[in-house]
Amino acid sequence: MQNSFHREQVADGIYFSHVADSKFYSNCLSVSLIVPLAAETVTDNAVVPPVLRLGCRTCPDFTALNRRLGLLYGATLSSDVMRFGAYQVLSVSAKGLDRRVALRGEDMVRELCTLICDIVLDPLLLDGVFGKDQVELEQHNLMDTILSEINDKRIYAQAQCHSLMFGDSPRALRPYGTVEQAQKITPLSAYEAYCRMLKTAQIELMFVGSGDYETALEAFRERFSGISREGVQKASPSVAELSGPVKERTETMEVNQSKLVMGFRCRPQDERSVYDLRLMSAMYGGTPFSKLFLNVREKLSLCYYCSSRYDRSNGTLLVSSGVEKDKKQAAYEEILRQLQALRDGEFTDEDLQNTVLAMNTGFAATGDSLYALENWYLTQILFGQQHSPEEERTVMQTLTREEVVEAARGTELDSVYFLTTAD
Amino acid sequence: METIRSGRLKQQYISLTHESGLRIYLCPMKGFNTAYAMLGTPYGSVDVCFKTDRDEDFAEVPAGIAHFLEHKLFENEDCDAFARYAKTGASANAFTSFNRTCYLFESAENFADSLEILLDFVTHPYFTQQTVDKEQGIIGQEIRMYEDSPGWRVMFNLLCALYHKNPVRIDIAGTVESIAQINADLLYRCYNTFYNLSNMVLAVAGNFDVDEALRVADKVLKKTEPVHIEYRRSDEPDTVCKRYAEQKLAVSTPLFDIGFKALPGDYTENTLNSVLDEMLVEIIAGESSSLYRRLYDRSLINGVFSGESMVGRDYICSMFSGESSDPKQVYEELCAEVTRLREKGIDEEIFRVAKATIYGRYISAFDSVEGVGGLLINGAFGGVGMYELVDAAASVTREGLEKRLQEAFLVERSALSVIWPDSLR
Repeated sequence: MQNSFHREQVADGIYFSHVADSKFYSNCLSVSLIVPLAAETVTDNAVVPPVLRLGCRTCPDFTALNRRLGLLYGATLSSDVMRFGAYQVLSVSAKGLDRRVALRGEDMVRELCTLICDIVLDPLLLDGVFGKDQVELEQHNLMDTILSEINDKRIYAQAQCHSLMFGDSPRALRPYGTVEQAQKITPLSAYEAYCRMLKTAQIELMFVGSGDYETALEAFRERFSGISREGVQKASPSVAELSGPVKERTETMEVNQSKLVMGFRCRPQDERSVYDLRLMSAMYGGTPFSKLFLNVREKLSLCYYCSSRYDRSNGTLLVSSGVEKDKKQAAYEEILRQLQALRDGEFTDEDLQNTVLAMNTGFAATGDSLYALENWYLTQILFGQQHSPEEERTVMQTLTREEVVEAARGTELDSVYFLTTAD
Repeated sequence: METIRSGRLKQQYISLTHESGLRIYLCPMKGFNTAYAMLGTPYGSVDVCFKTDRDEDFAEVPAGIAHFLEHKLFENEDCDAFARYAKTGASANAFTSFNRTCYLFESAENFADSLEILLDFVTHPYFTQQTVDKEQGIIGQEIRMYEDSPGWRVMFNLLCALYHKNPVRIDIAGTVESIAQINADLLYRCYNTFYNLSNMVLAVAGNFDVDEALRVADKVLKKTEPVHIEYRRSDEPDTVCKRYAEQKLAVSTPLFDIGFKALPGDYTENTLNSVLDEMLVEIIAGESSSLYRRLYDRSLINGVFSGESMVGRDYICSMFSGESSDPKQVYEELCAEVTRLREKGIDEEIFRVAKATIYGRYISAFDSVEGVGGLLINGAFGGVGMYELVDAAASVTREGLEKRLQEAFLVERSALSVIWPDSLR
């Protein structure tokens, strides 16, 4: 793999990372603010990136800003909010062509870096706070985003199961917060959230692409070393301690296909057992030859889809499926039976090898995508690691069937969520 | 064998017709870890009426059969293709769109073995009534899943409004009723027509060896007598079927799709016109447009608003999609903006913005093996090579766009589709 990763500190709790890779025609730059999830701050925080995206002091007009991006060959400037374990990650990123394919030879890295720094560090203010119109607009959009979770029933059902698992814990919070909190956002509260994050968040600056990363490093260093920092909270990864009896919830809605989501607790003991769990999850329901796909979907035709995903940031595994209402119980039992089969070692060495081979393709594909690389290394940073996809691929080759069996044995059902029609 | 080069991208690919009749496009990409291979046929959900040079009359087949065939090809007498790919580590998939069916894999190792599987299973059909019956249940589930998808429904409701007869208005998977009519004989008839190698294309991009790919093709592919397909072009009026369609589903905010139906030329013309239409979509309501700003500032649209051009053998239309508390107002303002642009012409600055935006979008596709694989297949079926498409985007003129605006964006040939939340209207 050709990608080389390097990370360095540019100011207190502010780091610049780059992945240089000449095969791409584009570059991607991002600024991510990482803060603990908390009910009081999550919603105000979430409105900040889209408000920033509307304009900055050097380019105050939203349309003029978009035209500037358009002339830079449709460069994208996007804001994003996501949840990572007990943290909220708020990002602004810019992606655009590299200079060598620019029709007019513009210094694309410098242009995009200047723009993203202006957007994040030099916002448009009115009477010392964000503009009322801008905040109201994005407050409205934020509420739409929160409410629109219901539009995709598969994602909605998974989110409901996640909430059921984590109850009152901050991990249960939605990355965008709540409608109730969103209704209370004011220009002052949003601006205070912005200032608080700039002062205390762990800040990760990233560059991935074929262009001159040193231009980005110098520009980021110059701009970010000037900001006032105090009480910086560095993210430290942990998994949740879940316990107690299995929780169940059924919700009714007008749907053609019911959704069954089963949440499991996993207990990784050390770094290696995280690899075990990833492999176990892939064997369970992560490939087209996994236990769940072959048995629940293909052999018994109980579900249209049935897959598992291990969430390392929370120490959980979700099995998500689309089922006919009257097949729910049969699907539920078969999903558990297939986990038991893994616990009992009912798989061949070939199954294990084939799953590792499939995962190898995933690792290799990560190195072939700008976005996947950015996401990979940001995730590494959040786990306090710097492994390349190739390094993790190498570890995967060394795992044994006993380790997979142990990972399955340590995985227990925690919650069951069912979305279906009323009788 | 021909080498096609791009000075702009400093890249090249090889184009050849294999002795079996299969057209092959090979684009090795330096620095990439994976190889991406796609075997495709220009056969999609719209191809429900066709004949070959061996047939007397046109045959009408049930809606959803191309997609059904895609599902069934993965199975042969002994095992399914996924079980074979499991041994190579390749990530395999397939899709059926309006006008093509493609089988693909991405691999990091064992490329030759994976390519052999791909070429082998697609050229060895095995259908029995028993396996067809079982598949009807699985696809029935898939159809039901899409019935719950507001984004899918809003698009098909729009296509039904824009088109009277063109089969683009039919759901790709068909209906539970239409797939019930499918049997093994019908599947073989469609297979023998559209999966004749002279009608298919193999595209490979990324990390692979050209000679190795050709060796595998030589090993697996047998020469077949070419079959010439005649697609029945639908007798589609120029007008839209209706201007408005609506449905209620469990959604939080109303969803809308607005479409402008253009008159189709041949496939190549349609493909080139879609470059212009994409720029016009940007000019009319892209993020840099004054209309986008007016709608966004009044919360009539939000960040999920987008536009695209959709093109096929005998249809071409442009669509604007999003969420809005007042979709009818959005439609009204969009039509007013189209009328204004048609009367006043396109401003020079917004023209330059749109042109640079679409050029950048095309170049970005070359950042990935999937992007290049897709462009190669598009080029083969759409009649415009992938580098030609970039050059076409780089050479568009304002006059050309203004002419196209007059042809392709007419308010009277537009329609609105809305999905309302089931709790309000």
